[in-house]
Amino acid sequence: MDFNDPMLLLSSRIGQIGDLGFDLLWRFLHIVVSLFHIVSGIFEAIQSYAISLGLIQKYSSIDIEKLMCLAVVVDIEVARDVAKVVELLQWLKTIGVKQVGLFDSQGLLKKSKDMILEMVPGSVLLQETGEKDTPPDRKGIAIEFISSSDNKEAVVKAANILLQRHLKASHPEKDEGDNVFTESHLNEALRVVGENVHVPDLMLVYGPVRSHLGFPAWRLRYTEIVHMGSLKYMRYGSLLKAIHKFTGVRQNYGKSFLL
Amino acid sequence: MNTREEVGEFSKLYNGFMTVMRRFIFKVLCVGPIPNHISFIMDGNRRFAKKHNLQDLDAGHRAGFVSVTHVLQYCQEIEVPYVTLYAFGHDNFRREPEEVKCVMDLMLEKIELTIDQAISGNLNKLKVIFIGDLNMLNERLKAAAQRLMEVTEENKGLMVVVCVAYSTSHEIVHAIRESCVRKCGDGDSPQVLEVSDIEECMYTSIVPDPALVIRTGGRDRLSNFMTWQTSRSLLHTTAALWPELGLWHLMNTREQVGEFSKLFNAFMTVMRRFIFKVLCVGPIPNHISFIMDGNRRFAKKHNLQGLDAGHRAGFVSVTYVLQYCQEIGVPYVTLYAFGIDNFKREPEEVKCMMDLMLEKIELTIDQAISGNLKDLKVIFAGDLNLLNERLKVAAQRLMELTEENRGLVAVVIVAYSTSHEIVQAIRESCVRKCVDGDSPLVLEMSDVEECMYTSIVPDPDLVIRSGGIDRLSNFMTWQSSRSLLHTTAALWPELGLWHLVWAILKFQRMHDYLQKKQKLD
Repeated sequence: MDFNDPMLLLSSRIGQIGDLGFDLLWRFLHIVVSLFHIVSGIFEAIQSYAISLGLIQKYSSIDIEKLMCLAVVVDIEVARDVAKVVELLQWLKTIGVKQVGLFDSQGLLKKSKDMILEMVPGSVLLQETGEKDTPPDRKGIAIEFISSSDNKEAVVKAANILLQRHLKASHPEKDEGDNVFTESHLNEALRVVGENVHVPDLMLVYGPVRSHLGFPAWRLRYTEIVHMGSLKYMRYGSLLKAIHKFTGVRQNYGKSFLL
Repeated sequence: MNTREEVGEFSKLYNGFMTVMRRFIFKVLCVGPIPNHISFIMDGNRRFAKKHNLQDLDAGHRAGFVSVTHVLQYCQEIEVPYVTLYAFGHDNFRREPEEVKCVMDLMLEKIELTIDQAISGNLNKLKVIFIGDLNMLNERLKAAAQRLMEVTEENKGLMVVVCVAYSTSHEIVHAIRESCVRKCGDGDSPQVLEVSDIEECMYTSIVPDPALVIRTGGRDRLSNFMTWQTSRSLLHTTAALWPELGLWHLMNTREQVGEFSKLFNAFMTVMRRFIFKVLCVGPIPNHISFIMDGNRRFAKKHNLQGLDAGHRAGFVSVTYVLQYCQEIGVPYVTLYAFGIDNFKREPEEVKCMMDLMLEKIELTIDQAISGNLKDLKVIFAGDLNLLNERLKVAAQRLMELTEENRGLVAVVIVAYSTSHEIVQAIRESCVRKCVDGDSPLVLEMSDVEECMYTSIVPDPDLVIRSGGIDRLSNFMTWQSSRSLLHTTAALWPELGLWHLVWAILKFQRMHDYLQKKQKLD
């Protein structure tokens, strides 16, 4: 009995030292990973300045026509810095982007929309007009403000509209649902609720993490998602690079991706 | 901030390093005498296929062909002038007709592949010759073999002699017959056969006698192969099966290599467990989703024939990834196997993939029945009505068999797309609301989310997409609002341990931030 207690104590001490050892190794591993990110961040910054100064030829001309609709996801913590958002919109206007959807999950940018529209010359609020109505030579930039309420809650509202239609159908029990429950019906119901169903081609995420943070799921399906880093350290060169890369991308819509 | 390029660079560096090491080892080896002619008896393909549960009749032989390419490369680097490969014997024609046909078709496929390589100029240092009773082969195969011989006839470098429809006994009898005919035709010389007359007429007269005969598969006999020519040859046997033959086997003797590879595997497992233990100090994702992209590009990159070759390689990746996730202790894994958009592909390709899925599900059912799958629960999510009957039934059977298992929950997502899922969920919830008389006729978010295909798992913490593409492609956009979306340039069959570890490290760095986001919801 007496012999067992010190043995137990010893083995638990050894276990604690072992755990401490793993802990230290884990921290060390993460330090190495962070160093890697710092170094690659420095290289990115250098490349970005080179692009802004026009030193790298291939980024000097961008086929902006390919980018019909751009989405920008901004992290809430930095969304408080509206000046940065305004600067970004001005850059986008310079590049020639015609349509931008600005998203932040809590809707802070929506609340400041009047101020933003005032501070970006030539900007208008995007109306859900449909493509036929948009004049092709419209100057300026059309901005749409999106938040989380346009995501799942909007889909549920649209679902309720479809529910009402289903109930009004002559034989709701026998109906297979193909007259009411299809993608185009949902699109229509979303428009009725006041949502824009236009699909963005490219999404730029300004935040610490590459995550879409709740951007409307229904619109996000085939959107290219690019992580740009924090809004505080945004760079014109990186923006150009991301848009240029997008214009080289080829979409196959299922025939050639996956597996 | 992108983590894409560095892992591709890492594997290139690794391959470059291994090549330099190998060349160095060969330089050291070449200080001593090198065999003038090495013969390989390529035994063990079928046992390899059985050992690794590969289903197709020619699966083992395909693996064997990969071995052939490596061995020829090593022999070329060591500068062995002649290599003989015993591919198919006279005796092998006695196997099941399907199997024989399968092997013949595979040979034809590989010969045609080699002809393409030769024509595009990639085979300048290789001369290929076929010997044996070529009249026993079917017309197409014979013509292809002759074409390959013509195309490589002028090449200098390694001479590879492929023995098909060959056996020593047949060769000797054929040589005797030939030499008799020649003797009869040649009026002048005396009507007596010499050894040299017979040896001139043998199939193998074009190469010197082998200095070294290497037989894989652990058997100690020559099996009717070159017994006439091997009086002075070193006969070496190795326990490794032909597809397992590697660099060290060429250089070592039987037992050491067997032990060495066991030790090596055990060492790798210990290292891997150690790395995972370190990783598990930090937070581990509760649910990882994999978008398995890049199989077809992999097949193209490695010139694999067969519509499903890339997907087969992809399945091997799936088994490894599930094993690693189980060892790390991730509770839920989702695999995006086939999307509704993929039905738009060529009908043959879709059918091929469905057949492959059925084959793998049936394989897994067998594993489950024999008790090897205790720690895995498999669920199929998606619109299963879009699949053919057999596949649907097999999927349901696998779900039933693994229902009681505890451990990793692997959700295989087939016939799925976010848009389809949302619309179906709305339809289901509407129907349920209508049927349920009591509650008010208004849909809540929870009603819709309950009816989604993916309601059985929590939202993913980490979405890993292979293949270097930046979009979600209509996959779980609803559920991934708070997920870290990680993309890697590696194609799905190339995805390995380090890619997974890197993605999890990234997740750990951002874990606090993602948790804060979830609390805000």
